Amino acid sequence: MFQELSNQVWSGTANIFDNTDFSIDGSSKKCIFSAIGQYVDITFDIITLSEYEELSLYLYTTPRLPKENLLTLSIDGNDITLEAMNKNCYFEHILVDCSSMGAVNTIRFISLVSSLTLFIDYIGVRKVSYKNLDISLLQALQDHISLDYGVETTLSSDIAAESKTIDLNSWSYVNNNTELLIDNTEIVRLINKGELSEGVASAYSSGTSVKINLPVCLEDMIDIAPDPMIGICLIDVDTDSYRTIEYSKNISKNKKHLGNAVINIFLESSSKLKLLQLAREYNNVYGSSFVFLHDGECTNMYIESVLFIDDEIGNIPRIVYTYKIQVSPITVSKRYPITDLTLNIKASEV
Amino acid sequence: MKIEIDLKDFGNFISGLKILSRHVEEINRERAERFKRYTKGNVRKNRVLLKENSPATVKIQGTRHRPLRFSGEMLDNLKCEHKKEASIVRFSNKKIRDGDITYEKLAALQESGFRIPLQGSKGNNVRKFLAAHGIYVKKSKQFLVVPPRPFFKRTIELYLAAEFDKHIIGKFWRKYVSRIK
Repeated sequence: MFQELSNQVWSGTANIFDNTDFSIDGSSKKCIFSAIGQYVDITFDIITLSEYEELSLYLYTTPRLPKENLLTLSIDGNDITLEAMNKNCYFEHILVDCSSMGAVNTIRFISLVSSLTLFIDYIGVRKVSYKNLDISLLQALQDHISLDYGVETTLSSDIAAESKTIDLNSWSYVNNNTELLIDNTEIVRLINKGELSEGVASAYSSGTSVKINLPVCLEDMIDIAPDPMIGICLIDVDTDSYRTIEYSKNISKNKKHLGNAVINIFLESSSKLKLLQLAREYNNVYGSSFVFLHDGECTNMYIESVLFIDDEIGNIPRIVYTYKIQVSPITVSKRYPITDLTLNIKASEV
Repeated sequence: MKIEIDLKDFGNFISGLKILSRHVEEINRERAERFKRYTKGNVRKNRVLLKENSPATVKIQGTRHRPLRFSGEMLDNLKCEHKKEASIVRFSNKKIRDGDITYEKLAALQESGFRIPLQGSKGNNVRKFLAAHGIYVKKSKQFLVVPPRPFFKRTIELYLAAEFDKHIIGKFWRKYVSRIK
């Protein structure tokens, strides 16, 4: 489970800019330091770090020839030195073990060199446990997957607040259980054409835009699932496990992957034409492999198979993409660096 | 199967591979038949841990009915097709008893899961079918949901993990190639 630090406010003696053309999650901060000791402070809603396992963030600096210490990350009285990153032309994922740190609402980056341009992105805390291993994966996919059904119409008459009756100028591609987005603000669901499951929250006038919504639903949607929809469900878990070592900046850990999850992402619509349209868009945007953010990391998904299910027995047409993915590893033990080693040597008697 | 190669015997090893390649059709036939038996056994003994039937299915089919036996014994229609290039394990293209779909399509539905609407004209027909079996569904219920039962995918994983193919190839190696030693 990963949680970004909320309500971040950036300040300091370095120059700080918003940046959208080079980031992990759509936007990053570009910080330009022009003297040793210049700093950037990030303040956020207070968080108790010991309730999590790791602080996670992404940093990028341009490659440097000398292998030197570039900056200090200061958090809860701990100063962690970060050296030059010159591997790739992309962000480096930085982990800091925070399981023994207290409540904080500030992080400071201090430059150790006279000239430094730094990109910082996607700062948060994470903890992986048996309880949240699979659900965090499904929720991360739910946040990532998005397609456009591409159908829009307007109200043909006024709707009063709390009314359950709706009339549209066009009912093409609108099914009995379709979700509608009225005026880009309110989502409602039909139970039959013309009848809503619940009354609308606000009044709307004739001519207001109505879009067909394409929600992404997890496994527990069952009975009330809309049509069309994108569904994500876990269909299998295997028991292959193997150990790995993960390096945080202040500690390294023995971790263990606890098997793969097999996931079905399916597109469903009573209109086969629309289903095929969605499938083509899905193939283009996601296709046989894609990257998404999960537990603070860029994670790859690779397809195992695709199955198209026609409306053979009165069922809703569905196209199913099956993926297998390794879930996040759990920590088995920690490895602490030896900082002081004392050897007592006794001379033996001759 | 373990093959230890002595450089001096490398030529014999290459000859062995050539001999084995003449029996590929026979090897594939045995692999396919093995996989077919393994799939049936796995489902019948529920080694693939399928979801239990819903109460409605139990009512229609009886308490002794097991998943995947509905509509004309789908497992009995898992067949092997043997050709020179390959042997294929597949479900029959015949239509199921009392139904309009083939066993192949039925198997695909098990892998993917599906929903049947209970509203509209399709839904009315479904409700009539259920009512004929004494099952009455709430008016507000939107769908009949059949969850995925990916028995085929699971069986493939178990089959590969058990390395049955390796044992079969080892058996043929001992049968045909050991002669040259």
